[in-house]
Amino acid sequence: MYKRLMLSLAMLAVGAAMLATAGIASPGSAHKQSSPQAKKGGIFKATLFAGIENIDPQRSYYVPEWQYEWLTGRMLLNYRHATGGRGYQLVNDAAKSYTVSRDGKTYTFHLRHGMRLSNGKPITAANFKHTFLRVLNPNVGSPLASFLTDPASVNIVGALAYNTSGKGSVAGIKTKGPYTFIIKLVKANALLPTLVALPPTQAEPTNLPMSKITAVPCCGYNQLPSGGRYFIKSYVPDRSIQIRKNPFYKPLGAPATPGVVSGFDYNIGVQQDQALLLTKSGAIDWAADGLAPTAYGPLFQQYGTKGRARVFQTSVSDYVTMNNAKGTFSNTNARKAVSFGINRKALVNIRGPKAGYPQCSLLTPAIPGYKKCTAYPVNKPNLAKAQQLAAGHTGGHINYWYTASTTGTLIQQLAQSELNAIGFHNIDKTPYQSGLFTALGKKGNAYDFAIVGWAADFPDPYDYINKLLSGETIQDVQNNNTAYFNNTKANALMNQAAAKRGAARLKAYGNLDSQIMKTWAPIAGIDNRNDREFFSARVATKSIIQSPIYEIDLGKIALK
Amino acid sequence: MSTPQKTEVVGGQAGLAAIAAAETQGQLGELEPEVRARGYWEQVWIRFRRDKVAIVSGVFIILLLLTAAFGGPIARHILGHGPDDINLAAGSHGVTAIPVGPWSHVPCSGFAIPPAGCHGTQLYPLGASDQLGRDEFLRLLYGARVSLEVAILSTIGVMIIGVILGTIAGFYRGWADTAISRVIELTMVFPALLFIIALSATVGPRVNHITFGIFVPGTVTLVLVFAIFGWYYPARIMRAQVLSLREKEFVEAARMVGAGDARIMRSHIIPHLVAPIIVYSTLTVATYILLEAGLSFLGLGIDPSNPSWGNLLSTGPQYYLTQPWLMVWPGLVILATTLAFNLLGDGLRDAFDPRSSQ
Repeated sequence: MYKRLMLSLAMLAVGAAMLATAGIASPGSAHKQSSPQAKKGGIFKATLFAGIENIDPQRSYYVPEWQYEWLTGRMLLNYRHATGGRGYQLVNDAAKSYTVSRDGKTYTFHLRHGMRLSNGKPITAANFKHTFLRVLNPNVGSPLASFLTDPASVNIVGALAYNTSGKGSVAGIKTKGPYTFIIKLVKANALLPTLVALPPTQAEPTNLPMSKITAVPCCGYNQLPSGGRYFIKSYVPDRSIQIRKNPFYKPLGAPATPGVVSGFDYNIGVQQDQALLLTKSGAIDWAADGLAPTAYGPLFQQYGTKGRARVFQTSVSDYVTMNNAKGTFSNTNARKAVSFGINRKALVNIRGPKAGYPQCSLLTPAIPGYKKCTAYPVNKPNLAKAQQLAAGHTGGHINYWYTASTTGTLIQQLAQSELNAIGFHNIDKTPYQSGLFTALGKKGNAYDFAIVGWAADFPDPYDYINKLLSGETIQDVQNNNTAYFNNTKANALMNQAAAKRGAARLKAYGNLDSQIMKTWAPIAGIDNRNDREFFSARVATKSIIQSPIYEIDLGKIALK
Repeated sequence: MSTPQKTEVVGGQAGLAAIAAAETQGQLGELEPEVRARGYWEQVWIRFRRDKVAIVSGVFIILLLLTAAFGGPIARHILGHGPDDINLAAGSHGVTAIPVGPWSHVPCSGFAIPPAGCHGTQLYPLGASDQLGRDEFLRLLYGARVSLEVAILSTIGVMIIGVILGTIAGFYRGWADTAISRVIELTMVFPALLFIIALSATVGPRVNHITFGIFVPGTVTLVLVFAIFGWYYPARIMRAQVLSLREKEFVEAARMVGAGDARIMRSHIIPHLVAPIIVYSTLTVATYILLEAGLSFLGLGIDPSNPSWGNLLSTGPQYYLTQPWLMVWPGLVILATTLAFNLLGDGLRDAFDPRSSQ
């Protein structure tokens, strides 16, 4: 017996010694000395904890997906690879020029000659026609379809019918010869150039199937052919993504898409704690979907915020989405109770230091037209008011859906305690490892309450107000209006704002944001989130550039 | 008249010596006048109490059970806040925004909903458990209840199924033995961990709702899964024991006087299984404490909002460089508890069967 006890204690001592050794050794010992100068080439190694939701370019919508799709895709127009306001500027890319008809309904894009996909095949107008048909085909399920079929905004002739049935053709999408691509709208709208710059509108091979692509290689190729600076060489679901340089890419007069490194390797499913250690040791260069909230405090203390660790302001708006179509939150007062009762400051702080700024609006300061929301308390909840509003509506059952990441679980626990304080006690939780937004976007689902974030697809308030709140955009799947808010008066106001131009438009949207939140409270704004990043010592810190649309500009990233 | 003096006599030979001494009126000389033969359980107890490590382990486990049952509410009363009370000032402390360390006094203003009568500061004896600023000490105490509930209930379930099926298989042999043995083999080769992962991803959240009003979500799920996939080992042990016991003379004698199968099993077989049941149970409890911790660490066990030792341990790695105490506390209690159960099990095995340690 004593021998066993001694043996147990000896094993304990050995284990403790190994743990201590690992703790002392891990961050520093694996560090490799790098050259201080940035160099061209090398493989940039990234991790993703939750993975991606779609490798299909027409379905891609998630921030890390668009970060590399921005580099792999060749769109008609593109956003400039620059920081600040210049990053919002549109430049011609595959289209050397475009013209708009006098009535503002017909856009004619003149394509550059000599562009090639990564498999060597030429890019012509037929490629773009196929892309737009894929975007609109219901079998593909592109989230961009709703942007191109919106009666209040961009509405391509025949697109809505095709998007509903998946049959026939789209009268508003035409080619004229190999290098002229034409889009006809039902009514004039100036937002179209913005939409044809988005990654899902990139040129695709004409034989890409009218169904969801789930792995790469695919479709008879040894890759996923694309026309940008890079292409996707392989994608093993939930395992890895390999991105390499497109040997056939030529700017041909367009502003060249930057591409310093030779390629990107994404390792999927790496825990955030592990990603932190791997980045510190230089085994990987970047955790693409972020680190655990607890990691940032010590990182900022050790590295500051100007070098390997960075903080950028973004357009991301975090908000509570409540199901307006059913259950407890079909009642306006119940929704307002949430808006009064949630502790926005605490929900920001739970993400760690420098996570963002609490706010109750949907628009963020980076979006033109933003107006500060004053309808609800931002720094401290008004529980008394919330309880008063919730009285009589607290008996219902609430399905709380959340992402089961470290941060997501903490936020869920905090938000649930806040709901309890308001008086909502009958709460069921459903964790999602990934794909929460997709699940919320399926019409008729069972959720009542969730916390999600929205990053600007393009710098326009329409992308927030109409896309997230217009009842006219509700479809069967891939809904962005996850609140299923469908109010006739609000819809009309949104349509009126979308039809305006210039400063009047921005002012209308700013006022509308406040009015909708105050009157109907379909969602509850929480914060304007910051982008906090941490890179390995291999990364040249001067090459870490933020795009206002795509956050980190991977095209400019360089290794030492 | 001399005072009778008790003498410890162990084993049947000593008993015979006592009889001989009585018959020869003390001429054997070595034995005192009053010598009493020991019963089986008394002999076990005498052997057990010689093992000081096992005694200490047993006392530790009793204290642990008492602490798990009553410690949480008492500590909650003394400290003035509960295990689930969120205090953001405790969870996000200093420039690095990490949970406060051991023996910290945290202002009441940090509570999301301040507990009644909370003024000034409140003591966090072992610090805060995570960014939500919940009390690590209280959560360890309440977590003990959850972890021990899972371990003890699973052990009871495993032993009930294992003893019943093992006894039937060993006693009846034939087709019953064949059928049960095949089921045992199937259960042994079943990938239980993969099943648990699949279960937690599919029906887990729904099954977790079964709480009977007293358990935290996830407890019943874990108990069911552990019982369903853990019974085979005790069943094999019991079957082997019963196969041997059913051939003993006392079973034959019982059968000769007309005792039925049920009576033989109940009165003659199962009492002989008590020793292996007790020994195996103590070792199994330790295994299930570790398993609960492991599964909760992987996010598959007890609902993360509820305290369990595994859940507390799972938050530790986030802070292993900044607040390593958060790995130490749950690690220590799990270590001490499993060690105590194992040492107790070893001590009991030695006490029940002294030859086993030779």
